[in-house]
Amino acid sequence: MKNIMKRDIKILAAILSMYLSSVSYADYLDDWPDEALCSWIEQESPPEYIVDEALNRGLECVPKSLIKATEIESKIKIYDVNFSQPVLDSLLSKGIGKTDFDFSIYKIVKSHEKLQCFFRLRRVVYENKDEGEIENWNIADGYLLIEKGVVNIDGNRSRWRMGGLSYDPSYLEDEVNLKLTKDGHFVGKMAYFTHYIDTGEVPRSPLYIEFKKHKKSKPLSYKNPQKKGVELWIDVEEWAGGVLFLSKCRIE
Amino acid sequence: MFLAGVPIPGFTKDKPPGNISVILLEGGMDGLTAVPPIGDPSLITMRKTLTPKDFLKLNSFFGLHPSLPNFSRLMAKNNASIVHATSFPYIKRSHFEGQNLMEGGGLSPFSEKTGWLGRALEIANLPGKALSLEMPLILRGYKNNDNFYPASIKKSNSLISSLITKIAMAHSKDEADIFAKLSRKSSQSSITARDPVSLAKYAGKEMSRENGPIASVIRIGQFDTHANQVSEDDYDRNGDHAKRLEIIDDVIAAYRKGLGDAWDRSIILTLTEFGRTVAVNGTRGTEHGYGSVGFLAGGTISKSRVVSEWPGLSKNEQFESRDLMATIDYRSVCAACIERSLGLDHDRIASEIFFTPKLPRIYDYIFS
Repeated sequence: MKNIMKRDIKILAAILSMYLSSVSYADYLDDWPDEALCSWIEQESPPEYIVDEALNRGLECVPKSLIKATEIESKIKIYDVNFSQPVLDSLLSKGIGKTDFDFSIYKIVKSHEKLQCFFRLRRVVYENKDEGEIENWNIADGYLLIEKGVVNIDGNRSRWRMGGLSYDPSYLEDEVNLKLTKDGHFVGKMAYFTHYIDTGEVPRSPLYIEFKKHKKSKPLSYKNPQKKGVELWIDVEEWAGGVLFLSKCRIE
Repeated sequence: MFLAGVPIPGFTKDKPPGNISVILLEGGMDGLTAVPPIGDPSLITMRKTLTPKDFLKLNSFFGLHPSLPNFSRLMAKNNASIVHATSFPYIKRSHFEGQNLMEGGGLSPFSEKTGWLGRALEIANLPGKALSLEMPLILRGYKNNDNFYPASIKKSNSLISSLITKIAMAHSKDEADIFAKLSRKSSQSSITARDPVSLAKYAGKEMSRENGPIASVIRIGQFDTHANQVSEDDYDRNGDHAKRLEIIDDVIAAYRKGLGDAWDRSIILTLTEFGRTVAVNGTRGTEHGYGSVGFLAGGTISKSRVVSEWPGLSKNEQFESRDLMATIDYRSVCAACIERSLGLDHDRIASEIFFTPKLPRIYDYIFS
């Protein structure tokens, strides 16, 4: 008899606790007028049970942001990226970065011999003369090394002289993607500073210009590197371009 | 630029599975221009002049702005995704409050003195160190995060440079030239100002090192395009907004370059405090809005996709009849990136970092 009484008490307690927990908030909010719930909803972070009660009553004061947040996971959709084949081929053929360049149409030097040259880069201004005027100062200078056709600039012994960001040697080390063609031209892309930035001026990012076979260029002879007068012309902007002078070239 | 989360021998037990980089897009990026929902019939009627004409078609519903060529290549390589119609849970359109909330990750603006990334690094036992005079809110944790800004750096001579400039201005021609030359010379050895792109490359390099920092944060500002979002000829590529998108694209590419092989364990995500209005205003711009876009890139993404619960753009589908509705809580995106990079459990992230135990887990939508 004692055991039966104990069991009944336990069952009663369990039922009571279940009832109390299920009705706690609902009962508590039953007497609340709609206006009171809405004033809570207007707070920055209304309690979840207030939002639930307001949603249950279908109150219009519940913002859409709160309605959606409760249902978010089930309605999210994945829109697969689906490039057409030509577009995909085109995108995959290009690298990531601003110096990416397609060299496939050029015949690049394959020699394993290392060729070192001194370079001077000067600006050509077209404002007064159609053929351009080469300015009498170097916007960049230093040494470059050509190996298997790839042009690498020696960051320790080379520099841009255009102030601001140009003093960061990584632009010469990492932002140059040039190769030497068999007929002695440089092709590819590189970071190029067009304006001098003085102290206190806002820094300007470089342009990424393309080296092409320029009709005014006097190409480098890989077989006779000591030949003087190498000039590689670059088109940059309408008002100015550049000339890369190579000298003191020697096989290392 | 801020680097954080440097593993400390004896303190950090296990190296986390990846690293995380956050790009803060301040001002409120227009997600509808960056990733136009070309399949929504209301797009062309509501924002014809704001939609780029030469967008890249991602699928039948979404396009990508042409100022994001590197991001599009990463998408082609299945290393980039987009979350659309998303925002932090903030609807009041104030930059100050919105930026505070996106960095703090709390339930309301100015409610937290710490940031969500700082709290995540702390739970992962990765104390941060910010190279900055101020510790940015996003990286602030409860204790071990610290900032570092040396008062005296070798060759730091900006004060001398400005003094020389002032003296030069007070002198006549010849002497002024001498001082100007001296000023230029002195500035050559000083620390040069950096742009977000070169900083991203630097951050990537540092993060790729053995025991290098696990997290980095870069800010890109001026997305607040109330005017001239597109140029006078209505060509979107020439507008201010397109130029900001180019910077995002270059920053992500620079991270890719700097990270090298570490790219495979990296995730980069953008944050913005809110989106823009659906309609164009009278000055070829847009006003502060609500829903926007998040860009995600990194080798940890194995399938490129656009993740969205698209709310629609018609007037009755807009938030308060003016903005793109946000249907995904962007804290869920941040939580997924923390889970992937720092190896923390979602429930812990939800309750201890974002103080929202029921924060939906959308990890599988991004990383599966």
